[in-house]
Amino acid sequence: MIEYLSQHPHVIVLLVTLLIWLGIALYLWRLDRRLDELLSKFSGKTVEQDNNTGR
Amino acid sequence: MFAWHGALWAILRKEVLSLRRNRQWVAAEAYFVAGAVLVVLFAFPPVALDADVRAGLVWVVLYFAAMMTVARSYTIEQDRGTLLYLMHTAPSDAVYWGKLASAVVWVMAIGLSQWLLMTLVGLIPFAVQVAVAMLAGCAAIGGATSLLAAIVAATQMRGWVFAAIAFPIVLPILFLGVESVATALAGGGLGAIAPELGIMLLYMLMVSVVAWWLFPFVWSQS
Amino acid sequence: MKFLFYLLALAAGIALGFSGGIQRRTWRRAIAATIIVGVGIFGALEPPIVGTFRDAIVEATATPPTVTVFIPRGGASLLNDTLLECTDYAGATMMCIVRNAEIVLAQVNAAPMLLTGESISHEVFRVISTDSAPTIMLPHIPALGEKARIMYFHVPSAWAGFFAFAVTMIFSLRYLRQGKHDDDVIAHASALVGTLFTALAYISGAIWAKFNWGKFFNWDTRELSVLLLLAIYAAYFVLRANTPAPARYRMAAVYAVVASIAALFLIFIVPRITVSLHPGSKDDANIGPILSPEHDALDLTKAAVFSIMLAGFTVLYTWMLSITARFHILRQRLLGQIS
Repeated sequence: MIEYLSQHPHVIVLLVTLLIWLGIALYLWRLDRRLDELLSKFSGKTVEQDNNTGR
Repeated sequence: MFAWHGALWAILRKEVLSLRRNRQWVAAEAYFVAGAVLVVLFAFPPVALDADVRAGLVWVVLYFAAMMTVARSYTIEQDRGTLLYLMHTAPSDAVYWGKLASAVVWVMAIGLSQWLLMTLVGLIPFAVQVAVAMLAGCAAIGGATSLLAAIVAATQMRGWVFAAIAFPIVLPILFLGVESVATALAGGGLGAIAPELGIMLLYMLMVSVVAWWLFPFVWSQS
Repeated sequence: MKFLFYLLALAAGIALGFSGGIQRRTWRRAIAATIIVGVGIFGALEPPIVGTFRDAIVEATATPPTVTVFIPRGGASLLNDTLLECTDYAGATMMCIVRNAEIVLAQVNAAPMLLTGESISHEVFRVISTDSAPTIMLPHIPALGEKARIMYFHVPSAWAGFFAFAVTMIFSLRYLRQGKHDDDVIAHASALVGTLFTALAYISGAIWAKFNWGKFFNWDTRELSVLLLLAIYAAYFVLRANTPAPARYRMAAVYAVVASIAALFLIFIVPRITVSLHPGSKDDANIGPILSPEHDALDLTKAAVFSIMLAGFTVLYTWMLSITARFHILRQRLLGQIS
């Protein structure tokens, strides 16, 4: 793996680029999920229901 | 100019008195330093160590001993229930500089006793510049972390919060401190360690002045 | 000239990112981030990296030893069937072994060419492939080769991480002076986004370091200073999580301001007074590819692409900051933590 990568530097570049976008995507995905949690918390459910789902 | 200098002396005096009343703290610090030095002695024969390694060992012990000390300076007021009293009776400037001075003196005392102990057991050679490097580091740690001790008094889980928030602030001091002690142990004179000590004390000065300005935000109720 | 590029890019990025206020959604931010980062990625990945014969001689022992050399139009003369005398754009001359010298000569006489190959001695360059030269090309950076492209991603994300910390500090100061709760939320959101960018810069740097310096972590002071920034962010979150609500915002703001002195110290002073593998350190005569005073055309292309990426990451950061801050403002209002 390391041997292959040091022979093919453009793959390293690709790897690093993808990693950075993956990091940003992961961050947005997490934020997206938290936003969804917040929305479902305030979308007409009663407090009892919230307690039942543990939210 | 120093309308609060009377209060400052009163705070310092209070710190010394409370130390006399809480001698178990002195004993705890002494046990910690002695224990840590003993462990080092069990693990390594002192003659076989490089200056770098010895400098590292000196600072590991010093760092933890200093953290224990500084963390206590404000939380002790809260534990005794005297925090509010102090808030209402003394000007915040006097509290800040009084606590800072006592932290500096106390950490330097630990540094000095550690230097003595380590010199006695032969871990470090008897040299003034080593003591100077260690004491300057101690002063810098005491001065730079005094505000953080006031911050942690308002938090839960205080011990490890202090360790977490003090580490980044102390890191420049540790970095320069290890370099200067290593230089001193390798035979460098006072002139060789002066630049590092200068930067370290400048850093402490910068942090403590900014912290002085920020202290009223920490030192208020609510 | 280069510094002007960088300064303009940063100013444009900051102006585009912050105009309209972080608490409000603006199309400008989203569109600018998408377009600028898009153009930047294209500029960093698409153009070939071209060098000179001198670079080829330097890289002869590297893995892989191939270098692409830029030959301007008419920069070749025929020696025999498989041998050309070529002059690169810097004016250096080498004998080039090619399959069919006459065809390559005709190509060079018609348009500038790129010769990819390796130097087999100080006079002879063996050509593996030829290609016509595009309009945009990036310069070869010694010892980096193709990996130099990482620079256009790694440095801007490190910049975004540092800039985020500066924003945290500025909004913390504003919170302390004016007491507006939104300022604290923005400071916190900036720390969250800054942690992401700092971590990405750290990881991408670690991968780069593995292939250029041999190890993921080299105890380099620049690596340590980025690690310190992560430690400050971590401490900031630890403090927020462990302080009860009314005091939390004030303590976190105070801590951000105090920690910024340590950050300034470790980012700007310590790496320059100690020995380091990164450019610009005490033992390093070479100030590094980004700040070097060269100014040929290729160097300006590099500076332009780098500036675009700096501006792009700055706007991208403000976009993410705005989303995060608005999410936290909404969350706190809905959960009734503030009125």
